[in-house]
Amino acid sequence: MGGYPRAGSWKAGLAAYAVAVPLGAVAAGSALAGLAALLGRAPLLAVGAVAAFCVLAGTTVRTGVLPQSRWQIPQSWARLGRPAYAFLFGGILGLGFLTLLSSVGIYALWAFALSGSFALVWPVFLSFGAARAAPVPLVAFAARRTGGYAAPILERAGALAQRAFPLELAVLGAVAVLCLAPS
Amino acid sequence: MTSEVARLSHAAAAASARLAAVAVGVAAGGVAVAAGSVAVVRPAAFVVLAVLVGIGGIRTA
Repeated sequence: MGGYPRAGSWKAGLAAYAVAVPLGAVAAGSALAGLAALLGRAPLLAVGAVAAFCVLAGTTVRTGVLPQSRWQIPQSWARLGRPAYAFLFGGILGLGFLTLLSSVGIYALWAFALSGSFALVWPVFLSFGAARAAPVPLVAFAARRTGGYAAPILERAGALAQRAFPLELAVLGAVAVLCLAPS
Repeated sequence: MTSEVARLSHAAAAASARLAAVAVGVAAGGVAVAAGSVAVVRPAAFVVLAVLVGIGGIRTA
């Protein structure tokens, strides 16, 4: 989020971001669960099929062809002030669909939201939001503590997340079986 | 040429790791189904998946 702002503004921006991402995520999950409550819930078999599709997409490295928005949050919005910009930035990232997808498995989360009750859906989307929000404050504090730049730390964190991708595929495989198995 | 071989070798290793991970996940799901604990394990699996998908966002940062 650029520049070397005053410490107070920097912390307020991080706090706004850390709150907004989970809020955006829960809003997206709630909206989908509400839509399902109105129009009828998707069957678990459909959720399993989406999870299996995600596994296929993830193992064949075809994630780039999946439909996703390439819109970027305009930097001109920074004129709103750091906390407001960080809040908007975080909220939009938390929604999960207006910008680049965080990972292929998000399709399975959306399918789950369309199939489940709100009581089951919000903890899932809160977890997504918290995990989506966590790296930025952690990287920012690490950079601040070491007096270095955030970019190399962010790059290392990205490489670590890349190595964790098979774990996501494993959980997607388990989810597919858990949804497709007759209950 | 050597770098191309190294790149292909790296891609093959990554693909193998992904396939092995899927196999482990499918097996774990199968065990949960066989144990009759789907109702408990399924919501927990979605929470874990949500965390991993969220962390994955750093790859696009």
